[in-house]
Amino acid sequence: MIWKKLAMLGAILFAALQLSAGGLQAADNSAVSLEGIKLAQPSPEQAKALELLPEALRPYYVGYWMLAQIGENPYANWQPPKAPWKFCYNDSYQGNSWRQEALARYKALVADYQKEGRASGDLVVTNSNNDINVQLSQLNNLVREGCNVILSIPSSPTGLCSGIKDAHDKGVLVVTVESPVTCPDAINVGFNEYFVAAKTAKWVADSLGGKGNVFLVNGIPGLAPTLARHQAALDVLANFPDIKVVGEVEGQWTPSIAKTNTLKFLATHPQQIDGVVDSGLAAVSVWQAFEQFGRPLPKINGFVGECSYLAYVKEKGLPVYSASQSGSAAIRTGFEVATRMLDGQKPVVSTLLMPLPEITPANFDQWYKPDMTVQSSCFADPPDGRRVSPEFLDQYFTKG
Amino acid sequence: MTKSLLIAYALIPVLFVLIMVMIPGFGTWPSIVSLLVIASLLGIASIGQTLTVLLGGIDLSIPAIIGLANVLTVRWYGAGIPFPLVVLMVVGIALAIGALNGILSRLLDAHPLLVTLAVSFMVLGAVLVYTEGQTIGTVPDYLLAAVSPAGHTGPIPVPPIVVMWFALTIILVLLEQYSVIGRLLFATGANEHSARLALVPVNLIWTLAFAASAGCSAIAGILLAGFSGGADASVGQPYLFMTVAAVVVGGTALLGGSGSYGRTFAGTLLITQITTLLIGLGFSDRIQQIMLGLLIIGLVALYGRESHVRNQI
Repeated sequence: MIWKKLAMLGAILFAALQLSAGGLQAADNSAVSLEGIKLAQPSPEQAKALELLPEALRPYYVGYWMLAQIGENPYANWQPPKAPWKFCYNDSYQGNSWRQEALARYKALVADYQKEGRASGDLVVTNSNNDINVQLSQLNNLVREGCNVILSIPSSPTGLCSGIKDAHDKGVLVVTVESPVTCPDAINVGFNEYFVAAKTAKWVADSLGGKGNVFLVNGIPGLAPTLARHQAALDVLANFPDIKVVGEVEGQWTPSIAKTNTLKFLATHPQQIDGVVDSGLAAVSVWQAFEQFGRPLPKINGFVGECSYLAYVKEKGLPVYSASQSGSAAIRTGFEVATRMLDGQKPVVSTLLMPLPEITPANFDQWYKPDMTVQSSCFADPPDGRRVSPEFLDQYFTKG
Repeated sequence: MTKSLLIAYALIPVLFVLIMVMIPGFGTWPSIVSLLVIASLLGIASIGQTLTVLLGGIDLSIPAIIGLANVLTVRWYGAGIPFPLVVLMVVGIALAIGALNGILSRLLDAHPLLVTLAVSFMVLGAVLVYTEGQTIGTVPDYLLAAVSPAGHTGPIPVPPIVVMWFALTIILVLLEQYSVIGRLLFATGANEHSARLALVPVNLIWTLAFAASAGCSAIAGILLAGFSGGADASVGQPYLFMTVAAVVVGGTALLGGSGSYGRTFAGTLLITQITTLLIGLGFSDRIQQIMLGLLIIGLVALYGRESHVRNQI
């Protein structure tokens, strides 16, 4: 018995050490610096909301208003229920690898809690197939069924508000993951689209030595993340007078569409292209289009950390920089925020926006796995499975 | 009839010269081949739409069948099944689903708009259930090469997909013009009631046309797996309206009975050229859609509105 406990303690200590090392690296030795770069400026009202945050966190919230709102912690007076807790998942879609990886991780985290006697029963899951009305009624059902914690990926920033308010009134903790809502009663956990996109664009500019022709690949038209990422790229590149944005291509975060539109773009743009700023999942398709045109490969960032990107840069020996938006790490961050709140910690604001881990030449080998190929549809997991270190996450909370 | 056909084909070189003039540097061999590859994907997906529109129907399940074929191809080949067998299985499943589209439309006497929409929901749902959202797998290198603008067909510096599309076009036009089944297709589309009285096997013709439509969509889905190198159940989405647009821009009447795949061939090339020109001029996707809408209205005006064949004596 005692050996078992000692071994477990050892394992936990070892894991904690590793995590803090990895986390500090992400926070301090970032491969790309935004220092001296002129970025979006907040209005007086937006600047006032930022004052709710500790000063150290404010740089990570630059441009937050393009995708989220910051308010006071709606659960400030909440009395967390006693363990074991019932964990639930109000998902909006499960038809891609990202969502599947998130679901699998959430199930595993709850299973671990169950073994420790801190979760009652398996994870309860609903899926609305991107129908916001269905998702709302599923949310209401979860509240009726007695869930203590509901992680949700809402398919609209407003559609769940009545259900979230009702849950909040009944003492149920609702945490949105990766897609913040505008209503004040939820805790939102996600990454700052603007900040991350600004870094990817900065990397492209840096790797070109601040000079050359660049085009942008955009996401699905009309969505807040698309607009925030696009604005960030334009804002950063405007700092480089010798970089010329020669056009934009709609990739819609879909490789086949990105490839079709890049081929059309290359057919009509004979000038040399030195760099491409990808806002997600297009890099490999864009490179392949260049290859098929027989044109030299430009520098392209990754945005999501898709396995195919890692496999391609490895195969071709290209310079690498990608954010990592793995689904499994995303849900884990949401879960950690929820469990910290169950343990009595209080978030400083309603919306917790974080940076994303960065894949760089220095840590590439920790991310890359030999079974990744150019055709893989997976997303590389952070070596420690986390988006930010526990110490970094501490900054978002006051101890209760 | 022939006037609109002439207009469509005359517009192709006119547009090409226009792009050459407006976009300096356009007209290189890789540019032309790239456009042909993109047009081939749309063209092959539009074969089925043309056949069902000729019957006075429409096929809304094309994107779903493309997605199904795309995901299953990558998955099954990745699981070690030989590629020719994968193609046979995928096309076989698609033919069965397409036949079901045709049979249900006739048996229920329901517009194929409803039937194919319902079937496409079922197909996409089934794909997600079967794959559990995981789109793992791989495609053979020669499939990648077959749809790469840098590919070769034997000694010809044009990738096989383009050669295949041209060959399919010739076969289809010959079938439409000279075969019994082509005549029966037009007879059914022109006036189903009279066709029945003339002992045309209307139900069989519908079943065959919708099966062929799904079969061609499956081929497009397989080729798209080579084009993007991975699987995606939603890869067919752009092909819902684009296939209808290719049919309409070519000048095939949506009411059925008049038109041909030869027209859709021209329509496909025209649409590809126009969207390329718009990208070349730096217009966004939304502006491209507005322009495409204007083009369709403009062409309808240019082609002239003829009364339905059934009302022409």
